Amino acid sequence: MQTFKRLTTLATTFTFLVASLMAPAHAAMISTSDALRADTVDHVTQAMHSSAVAEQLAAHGVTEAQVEARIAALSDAELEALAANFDDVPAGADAIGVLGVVFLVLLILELVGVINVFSGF
Amino acid sequence: MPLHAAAGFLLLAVVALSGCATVPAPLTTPVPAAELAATPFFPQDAYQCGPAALATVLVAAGVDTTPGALVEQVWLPGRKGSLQAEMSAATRRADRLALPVPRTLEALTAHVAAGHPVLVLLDLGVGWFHVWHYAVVIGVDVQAGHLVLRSGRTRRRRIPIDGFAQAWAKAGRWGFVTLHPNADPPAPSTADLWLRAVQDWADTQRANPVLALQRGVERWPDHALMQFALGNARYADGGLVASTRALQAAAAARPGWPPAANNLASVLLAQGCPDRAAEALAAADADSRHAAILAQTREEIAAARVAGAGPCTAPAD
Repeated sequence: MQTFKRLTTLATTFTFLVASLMAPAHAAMISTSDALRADTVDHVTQAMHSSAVAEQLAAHGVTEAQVEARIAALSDAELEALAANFDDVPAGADAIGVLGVVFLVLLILELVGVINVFSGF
Repeated sequence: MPLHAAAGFLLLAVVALSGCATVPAPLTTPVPAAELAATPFFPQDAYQCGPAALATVLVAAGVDTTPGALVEQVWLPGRKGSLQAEMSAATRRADRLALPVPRTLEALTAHVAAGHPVLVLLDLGVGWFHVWHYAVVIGVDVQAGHLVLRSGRTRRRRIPIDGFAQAWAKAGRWGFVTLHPNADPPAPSTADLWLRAVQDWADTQRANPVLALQRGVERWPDHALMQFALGNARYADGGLVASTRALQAAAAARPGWPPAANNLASVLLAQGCPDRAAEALAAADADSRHAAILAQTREEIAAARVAGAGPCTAPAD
């Protein structure tokens, strides 16, 4: 397993090396993600956002194996927003509980004679 | 009183009680009645409307998945729900674009009419008591005044447009469609939304966005950022000629914009054209944010001029 990991790392490094050699020389390019951002965000800040969100995911019961993959799929802007207020963003869940509440309200309205839903049946 | 009228009354009562601030503008443009009946349906397990709704739109976009397979990607046990950002993230992991719909009922219904089911977040709660819920809008009938949703355990929930608009507004009018990256941008979408969705997919999946950006510039040829993004993607591919053309279009669409001027200069330089590179770079407005990279390009141009240029192979302006 260890050997396999090392081989994978080696292969990845090699691929990146070849890719970087193939890129044309004289490359002082501004990246698209940089141009899309309103402000310059350095890599350190980005890494801080990532680890803050990773901590939150783990604290909310996401397994260690999944945290990394889930972080990798989030955009920089999403990571920044989640790092800023993880506990305040909505978590879409369940409508079934609420249907019970609606039923209860309908029942009360029915009983006090405001509506006439159930006696029709 | 029939049931839906009662529900309407109840909704009015709820609205009055909660004192919801803004009532969205009613639909003005008539949308033809449409229902995407072939959209799959996955009845949700307890709490897990996130994975169920996501599977609905992903399978509709040709992905082979199930709610069960998505749980480990979007389910957040500690919140007994799923976050919006992670719904988009999981879409990208399935190699689909998570394209937000503009925050109007017109745009939402137009996406449905164009054949794309829309995953939405709703707040079914009252006042400060939020009940966040994901559902998928699959049908619209303005004449009859209702939308059709895949929601929870109900395959075909018809809900009055007004009631939907309230619940959607309380959740920030957020929703997205899932698209194959090679798909055409849907008619009601915008250049900014398309570009952002493509870029987020390409960045997180290390995917090549050239085709998706090509579709973008065909649809919005005067959008400087889209042309710029295409220029960068072509450059990363090694396609210097195609990159030059896109960056020229970007610079023309937004004269003086430093990123386009800088990258065009760099690409021209890479094709042995330092004089034209200097000319392109001179068009850049002063810019403190990119000052370092602009200076670097300037130095590289100067160095190339000293070294003597080879034949210039870049396409003409």
